[in-house]
Amino acid sequence: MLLVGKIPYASTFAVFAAGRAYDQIRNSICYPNLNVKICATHAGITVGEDGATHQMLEDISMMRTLPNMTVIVASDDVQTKWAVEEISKIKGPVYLRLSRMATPIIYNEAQKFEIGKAVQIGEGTDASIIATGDVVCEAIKAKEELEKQGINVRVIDVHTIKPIDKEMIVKCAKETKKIITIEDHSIIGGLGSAVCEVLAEEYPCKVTRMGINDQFGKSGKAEELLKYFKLTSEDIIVKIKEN
Amino acid sequence: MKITDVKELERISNEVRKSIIKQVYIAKSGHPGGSLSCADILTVLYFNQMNIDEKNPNSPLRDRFILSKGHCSPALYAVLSERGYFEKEKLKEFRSVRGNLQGHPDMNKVLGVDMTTGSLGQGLSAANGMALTSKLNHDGFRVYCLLGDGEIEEGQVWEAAMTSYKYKLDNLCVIVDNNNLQIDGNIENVKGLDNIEGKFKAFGFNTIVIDGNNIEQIINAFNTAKLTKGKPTAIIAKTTKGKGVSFMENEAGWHGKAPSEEEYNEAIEELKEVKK
Repeated sequence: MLLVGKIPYASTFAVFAAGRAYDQIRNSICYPNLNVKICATHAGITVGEDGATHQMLEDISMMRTLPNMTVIVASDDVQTKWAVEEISKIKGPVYLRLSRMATPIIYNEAQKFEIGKAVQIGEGTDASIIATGDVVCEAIKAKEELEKQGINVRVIDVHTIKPIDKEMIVKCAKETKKIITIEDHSIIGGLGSAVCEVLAEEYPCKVTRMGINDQFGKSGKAEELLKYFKLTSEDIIVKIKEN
Repeated sequence: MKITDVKELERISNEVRKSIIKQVYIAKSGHPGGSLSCADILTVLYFNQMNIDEKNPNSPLRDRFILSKGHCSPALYAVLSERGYFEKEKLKEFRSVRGNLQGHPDMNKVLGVDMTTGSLGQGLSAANGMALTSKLNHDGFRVYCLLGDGEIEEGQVWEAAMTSYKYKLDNLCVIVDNNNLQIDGNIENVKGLDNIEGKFKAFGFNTIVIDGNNIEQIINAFNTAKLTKGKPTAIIAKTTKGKGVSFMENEAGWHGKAPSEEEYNEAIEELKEVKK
């Protein structure tokens, strides 16, 4: 359709959008660099009760490796609204990753976003929690709790996984004592990997990756699964206090 | 440019065949069998049927062609160069690192290619999008999509066929290059594709069965398709794989193999004059 004047927006569960259609995305969208927007919903373990077959944990990895592809992961309602419209202005394929779980609203409507520019929340120098998608709110909860305990951290909401905000990541590595990444996705190939790739080349340091550790998901309530896979604010706090 | 003289179209399709053999011979790789079987269909499309202008190749209102069986790119490159989209000299760079004529057609590298193809089974989906937009915008252009008979074993083709029917895409014309052979042998033995016409009919298509190596029958089928309203048309073109080169005809072994120097000379000799 786009070859003749319309912008196709395609939407289905992430497990099908990125997984089943990978060959179509690779060969018929990214290779010809076509202006198609893939808005994948139900990504990550927070799909909940449907279980592993429907919990897409590898899509960021698969999508960001494709040439020409832009990869966006929205963290709340405000950012999602912005992203859906903003991606129409990019000329080329976009993968927008959304989740099913109702998450708290993080931003007010006036918040400005820019594709490729991560959002910094707080100025703390004890640690940087680099997060994306539906666990950004867990990172913020952890930040607020730690503040009460006298530990000052910052949260970086990386809504654009590709192109990644190298400048912000390097700045955080230089300014804070610890780097922790967290994502509702496999730690292989996702945000954690993308951050490690940047720091390995630009500012080598230790990075702790939180996410799904090379395994499939399982059935359960979204909140229960976040606890099971250790992706809650409490888990982040534990990691920050470690070593 | 619309050529109606059948003899002239036969002459062009013979040139297309020579070009196919030459491209594959020089590249020392490629797919001659299926390219030869669809040479007449592509010749009729590009010289008799499609509303296109090589001097205004990106006109938004032009008819579109998708070679869903993208491995038969030599046939497409041959008609495009014959029509004047690019210099014939470029054909020597088919499959070469030096040029733009990829093994499978790349719309961003070659003027005149309307869709990048290569992963079989996806062309009809793209054709649906184009045909649907033509209708939504009242642009009036037609969309042609050539599928291999082996290719229609891909499930996506039938998902797309349901979409063609749902949106009543009567500006869409599917052509199945029914040469009965795919890389692993006879289509009946590989998958059991009995009654291709019946399958498309069941999916709501107007169907026309023709001798796909007969120029007059191809022209008539496309003309009938244009007059068909309310549903898409599928032309089941019964063709001969390797058509025009006796030792390649009906041989699955020539699906994706380049001729030796001796075979090349023999093929060109056979194609010296238009066969009747």
